[in-house]
Amino acid sequence: MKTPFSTFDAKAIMKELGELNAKLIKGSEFLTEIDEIDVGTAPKELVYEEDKLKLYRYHREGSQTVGVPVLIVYALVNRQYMLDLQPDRSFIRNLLKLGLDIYIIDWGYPTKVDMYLTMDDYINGYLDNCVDAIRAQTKSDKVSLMGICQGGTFSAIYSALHPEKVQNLVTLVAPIDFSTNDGLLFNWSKCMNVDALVDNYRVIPGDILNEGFLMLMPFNLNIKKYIDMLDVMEDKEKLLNFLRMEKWIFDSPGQAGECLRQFVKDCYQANKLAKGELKIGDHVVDLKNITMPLLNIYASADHLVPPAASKPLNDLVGSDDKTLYEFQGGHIGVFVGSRSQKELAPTIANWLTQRDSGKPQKAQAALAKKAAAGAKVKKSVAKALGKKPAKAK
Amino acid sequence: MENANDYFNAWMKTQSQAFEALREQTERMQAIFQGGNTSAQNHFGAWQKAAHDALSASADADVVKDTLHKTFSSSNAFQKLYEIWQPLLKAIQGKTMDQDTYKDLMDPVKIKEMVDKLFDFDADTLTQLQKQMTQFSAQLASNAEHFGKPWAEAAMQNLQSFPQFAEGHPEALMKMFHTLFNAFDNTVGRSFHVPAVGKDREKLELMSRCVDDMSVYAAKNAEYQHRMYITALDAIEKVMAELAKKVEAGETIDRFDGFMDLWVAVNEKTYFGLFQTEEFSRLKGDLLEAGLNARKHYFKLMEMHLFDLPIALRSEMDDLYKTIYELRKKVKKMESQMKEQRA
Repeated sequence: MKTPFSTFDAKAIMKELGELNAKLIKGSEFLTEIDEIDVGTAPKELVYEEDKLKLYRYHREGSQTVGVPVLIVYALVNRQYMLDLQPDRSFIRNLLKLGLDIYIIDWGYPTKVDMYLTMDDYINGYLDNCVDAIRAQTKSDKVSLMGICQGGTFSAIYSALHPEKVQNLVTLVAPIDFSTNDGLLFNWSKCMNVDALVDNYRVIPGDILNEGFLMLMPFNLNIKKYIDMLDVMEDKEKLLNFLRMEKWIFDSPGQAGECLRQFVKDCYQANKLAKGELKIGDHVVDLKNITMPLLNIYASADHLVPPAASKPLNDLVGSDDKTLYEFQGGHIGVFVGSRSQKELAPTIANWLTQRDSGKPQKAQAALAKKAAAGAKVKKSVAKALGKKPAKAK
Repeated sequence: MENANDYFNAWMKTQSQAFEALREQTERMQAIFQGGNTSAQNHFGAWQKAAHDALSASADADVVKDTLHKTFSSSNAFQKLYEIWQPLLKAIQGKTMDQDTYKDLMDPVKIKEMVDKLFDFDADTLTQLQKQMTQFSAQLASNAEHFGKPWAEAAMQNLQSFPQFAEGHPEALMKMFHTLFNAFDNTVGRSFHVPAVGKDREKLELMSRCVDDMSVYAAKNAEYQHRMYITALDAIEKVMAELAKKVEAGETIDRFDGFMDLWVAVNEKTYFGLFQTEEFSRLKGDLLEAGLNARKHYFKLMEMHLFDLPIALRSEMDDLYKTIYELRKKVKKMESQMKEQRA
């Protein structure tokens, strides 16, 4: 048998292990020198608060190009500052530069006093109150909703229940059709006794959910990531960026039990949203009530919310003007990847700008033309537009 | 990989025998107290971790501390990986390895340690169970002086004999029966005054149920761990196959971290194969439920013990939270109505 390790001898290995230890010792010094891991630094002001929720409006230096304010609705399971994780890779700063008036919800950290909060409370209560607060502050009849991940699901539900208050709906990596077996979380959730979980904890610790996330790629996320990090530790900026991501990953709020109970049972296990059977408060959610323009963005390599869970939204809504956009990357890469900085924020801003000026058809044509130009990433836009053009109802 | 397979199968068998014995013992106790058989479970590990984390402040110092800890752990895993593969790589270097003998070069104990570390299996289930049982028994002894104490002492003594019993010492089994009999003689046998109804009886039933919960959880956890170990062996075979492919293609791996990349990729794929099966989803769901059941009964038991103290209990706080929730909703509704009327 021929060896594949022609230059891979014991001496070399020992040297390599020695180097690793040296890097580790040196890296430890660098780590202990870090005082503060700054995240979410784009300037903003608090404009509304209710219980633990806070609504912020970002400061924009340039002029406003889109009249309708945009409300970003993030998931309950992680913190919204991921969109502004580091100054040079900030989805928020990019949107501001492009002239959008941006508001964002910080759901806060639920404690046991919040254990009875339901999906109805989050959607028809907190979210609706934020929308009203923005409408009052900006004197705008409607807002554009930009929902991310679970926040995208909530935004779609809200738009179906209150279409009169929503100008445009943008969803990013949002699960809508939970019948798919493409994602491990979708499989595991189907066998989970969520009643036992909620009855035990009341507010489910973020760590329990995080354990599930880490198990999706245990070897990369528990070992390799930290070994690779040793190579960049000497670069303070790279180390800080690594720590920013670590801070975000493990900064997981607990989940209000009743809300999680319904989300898992009705969505993950019974797929009621896609089936048109989900009841929020006194109303059954009919996604056909979503008649405003829709931009639905999914990530082709998303292992948390697989494309099969996001894409069906376009077939379920009643909108004439709807766009399905494929981003080539993973769930997190959508917001912090270097390519996403150049691609995603401009795509969303252009899409909103064109609808603000009442030129959606022109906008779609422009997107298609760009896509035809040949860049691999943009090819997916053409594919999406070509295969699923906006159909008049 | 027959040797390692044998090792893990023997490990699983020992686990099964031990918790079967424990379950039988619990059933006997239950038969005395409630005349029936129940089942449930425990999730203390996750709970304790969550509780510990909840106590820690979320300042940046903690992020740094956690990262440092994880980096050290990963570095340790890297070296452990080397230890596992070192005999095999040496054989490759010395050109003494062939397809049939490489199985003998892997140390299953080290493989187990690696998987334990990666998936946070702190120790063997039995050791954990023993620890929990000891704590439980101590608590039982201090809270149920008259009736529970002999049983607690018996349980404590049995726990001391447990490791020997698990390893197949018949005298340990005899000792267990003996201590159990003594406990019976000092309680039920002496007085036959077990209350038919009431808080004491309920407490006793719940105590035996908690013991049963733990054994069921231990059984499920052993099944879960066993599945993980067997998958690790499967992954090793696949890594070997990948190496063989590289040999055929005349490729070289110059550094150990290059080998690690290959090892990570193959393991990730192999475990993904396990994780996406319906069987695994069910097992994971069962394990969680087993832990949650035990946790529920344990908390109920604690509430019963704390009932007479001047402190707010969990169920009472739940009622209070419910009232606050409903009042908040009413106030918000009234505020909104007032706003509308003003407008």
